[in-house]
Amino acid sequence: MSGTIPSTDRKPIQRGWKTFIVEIVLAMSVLIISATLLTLSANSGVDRYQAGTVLLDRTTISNARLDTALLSLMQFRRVDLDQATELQAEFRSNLKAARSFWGELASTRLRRAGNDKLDSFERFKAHHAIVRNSRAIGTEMLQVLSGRDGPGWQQDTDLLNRLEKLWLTHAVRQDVASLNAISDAIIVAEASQPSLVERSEWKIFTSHAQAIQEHEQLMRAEADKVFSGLVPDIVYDLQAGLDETYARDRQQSVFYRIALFALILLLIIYSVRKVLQVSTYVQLLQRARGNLEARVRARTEDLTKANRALETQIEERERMEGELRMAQKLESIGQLAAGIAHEINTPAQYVGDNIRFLSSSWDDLESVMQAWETDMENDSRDNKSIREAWNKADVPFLRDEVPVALREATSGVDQIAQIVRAMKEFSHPGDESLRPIDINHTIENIVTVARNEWKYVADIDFDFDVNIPSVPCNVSGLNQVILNLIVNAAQAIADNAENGEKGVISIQTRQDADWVRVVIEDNGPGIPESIRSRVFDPFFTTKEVGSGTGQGLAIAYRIVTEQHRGSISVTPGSDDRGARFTIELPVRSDAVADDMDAANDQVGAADCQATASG
Amino acid sequence: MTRLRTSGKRHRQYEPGSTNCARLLIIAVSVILAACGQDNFASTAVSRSNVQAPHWIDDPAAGPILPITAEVDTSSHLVQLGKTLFHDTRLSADNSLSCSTCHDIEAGGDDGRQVSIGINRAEGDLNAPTVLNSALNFAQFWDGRATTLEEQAIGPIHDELEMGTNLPAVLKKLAADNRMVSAFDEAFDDGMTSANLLTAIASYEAALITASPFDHYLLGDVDAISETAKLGFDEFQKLGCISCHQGRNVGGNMYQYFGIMGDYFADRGNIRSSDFGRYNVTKNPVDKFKFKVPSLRNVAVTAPYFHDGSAATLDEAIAVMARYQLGRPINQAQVERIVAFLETLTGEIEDDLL
Repeated sequence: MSGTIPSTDRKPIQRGWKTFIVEIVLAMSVLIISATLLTLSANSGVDRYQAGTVLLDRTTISNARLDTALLSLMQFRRVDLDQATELQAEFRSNLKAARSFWGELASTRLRRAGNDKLDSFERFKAHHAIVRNSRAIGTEMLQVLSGRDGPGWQQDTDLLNRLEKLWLTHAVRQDVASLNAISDAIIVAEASQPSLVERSEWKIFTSHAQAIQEHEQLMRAEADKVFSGLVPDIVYDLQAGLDETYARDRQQSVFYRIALFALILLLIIYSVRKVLQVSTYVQLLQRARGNLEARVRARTEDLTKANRALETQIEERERMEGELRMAQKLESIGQLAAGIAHEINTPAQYVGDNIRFLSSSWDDLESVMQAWETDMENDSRDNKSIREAWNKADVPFLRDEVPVALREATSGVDQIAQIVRAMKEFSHPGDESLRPIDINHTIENIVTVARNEWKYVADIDFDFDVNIPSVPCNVSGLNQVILNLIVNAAQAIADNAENGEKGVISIQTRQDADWVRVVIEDNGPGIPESIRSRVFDPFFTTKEVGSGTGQGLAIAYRIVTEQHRGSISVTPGSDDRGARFTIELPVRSDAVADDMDAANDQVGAADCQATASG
Repeated sequence: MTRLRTSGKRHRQYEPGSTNCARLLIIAVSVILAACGQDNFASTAVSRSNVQAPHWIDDPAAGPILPITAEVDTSSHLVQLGKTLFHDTRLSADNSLSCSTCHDIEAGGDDGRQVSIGINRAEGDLNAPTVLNSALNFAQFWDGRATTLEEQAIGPIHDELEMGTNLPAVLKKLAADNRMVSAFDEAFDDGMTSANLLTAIASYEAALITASPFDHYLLGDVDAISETAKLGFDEFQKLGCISCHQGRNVGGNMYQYFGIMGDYFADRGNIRSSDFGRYNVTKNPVDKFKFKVPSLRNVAVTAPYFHDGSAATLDEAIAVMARYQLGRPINQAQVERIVAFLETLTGEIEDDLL
């Protein structure tokens, strides 16, 4: 019972803890999810998109500037290679930025195209410088050639003028046709004017014209590569990629934001519900508290009533117990009464017999004394009537027997007096208080009182410790206990004694330190082990219904343990036969001491009274 | 400020003034030649009657050569750390060489050798370019394989023939030096790292900018250079040198074939892979024998010349250039005038960079 009550109490508490933990885990999950959603929704890729777009814009601008610089160089007007170099460096730094932005792999196309462009630009610069230089030197040579006197001057001049015109035309047009025209003119000139061919200036001029022919073509090829580079296409692709990623990120971000809002909405709904629930609970609780107070009041009243009833019951029970104990005592006495009557009857009989004998003896002696009187009146000398009477009365017999009869009568009266005294002592109603008594004497008294119960079935074997101290006892209680045990022992032996053999009840008293032990043992059938532990239970009896109240040992138990703070136990007797009841009583315990002191005072007072009345 | 001088004893020193008398005679001729010259090579033949200051003299940014104007902060922890590192031999495997071994700042920023000598007396196959004004170059090395000074700096450290080591090994040595560690800590938030080492060296190199008398001339000081030098500059433009050697660094902003008007390498012979130049970087056959056009600043003090160091003197170099690049003859008078001009490009350097 004691194990199941707490466990049923604990169950709802455990469920509460589980719910609490589940709620905490849920709350944490919601927090983590919302934080993740917040981060995801915040990371819409705007920064990256902007950075990438700016980088691509810069690349586009840088690319255009480079193209513009190239165009400007191609026009051979304002040549500033430092500026071109700066633009190239700027373009290169954009490529580097692209590499760190998109990574080695994703930026490969752009960087390859960009580096190709830069390389082409560099090659263009080299060819451009050569062309530029050759044009200047060619012009210079033509001027030198046309400004010098010599044979064939006029013809040379015409030729040279024509060449110079072509040269200028090419400088303006910068096209292949005018360049081819120069080549043709050179061929014509060399064919028609051998003297011209031998001049060193002409050789320089033609070599530079050739250099122009060669490098202008290469320069143009490189310029074409610069202009037709894939950089703008790749930039466009990259921008498209950025746009796509951004759109996707945005979409995702919107999705995450919606999810976040949904979550927050759910949380709000949940919170509102919880708040409503809680307020409902609070109301219920308040109502319940009102109810509870009323109920507690009612319950308190009930309890008070029940308490009072219980008190009454306890009182009743105590009273009944008292009555029961008295009834048991009376039962014992009742049981004893027949025996006691018998016990008294026997001495009373022989007291009566003796008194009757004495009475007849007195009659005989009366006749003798009448004869004596007659003789005396008659003054007979022969004492004849006396002698007759004497003989008739058999005085010598009387003289022998009367004292015996008197003695016997006295002894009978004494015996009766002893029994009566024992009865008186035994049935003394007394109170609950403890008084120091002589245990041995008390036991002797009881044995005497109960003599009729045992004398036909058993002999009593006393083994008293004559030195045991007086023990604080309630005489009436102790009488009841020991009487009970002796009667039980006798009955047990009687039940077993079919062959008419007498059993033995041995009673032993001993002192053991602060305890006095009384052992009452019989050699009867004993108590089976199975019921041994129950013999002290109330209403437990092995006797037939109606032959016993079943209260004897229970009351004995209570008297010993509660009244005397001692102990009573039952074990098998020696040689495993019979039953051995052991009573242990404290000679002087703290608890008993107070009672003892009080008892001694009373005894003292009683003694004083006794002395005074004596 | 220290006037830069030539390194090495085996090269002729240019003594300004020693040829002045001869040059004065030529002035008259130059005037005539200049009259026929062009101040703008893109213009069509427009004759000039007189030598006059270039029309772009009022607008320095308009000319083919731009003056150096920027002031450089030379005293920062970063630059001073770079200077220390530049001169630190622990940057080489056997602690025998520093950057300055081959780039002697005071001697024109190079080593005066035809080809440089690395650790264990190993000979390279290229002439060390000057480190001076290298920040103004559009690319580094003869083949332009490095676009930044940082990229350049790591090259010689790792080159087996040069310093023959690696940055972790160098850092290990430097980390044992408390002064070096604290110098790094002063210059950088994150102290001594490979990247910071290169940054420091590059910062120092970027400060090695040498303004010259010619810059003063370009900025309007007409007396900053001699008349001969002015004639030489005229000659320089007229002959066509300016086609490639232009811009702020008088070169250093483009690549050019070596041997446009004649096969230089066939004539020289003994062609090596280092002669392929730009091709070694792009692997494009059209880039064979193409090199970064070197800056002519401080050219008078950085002999010998060309990537192969084949020209011991400026005269030789100018003659080779005229023949193979311009495809025209050049006489000694022209050469001397041009030399006079080139000498005005020899600059000065802040003392605390030395």
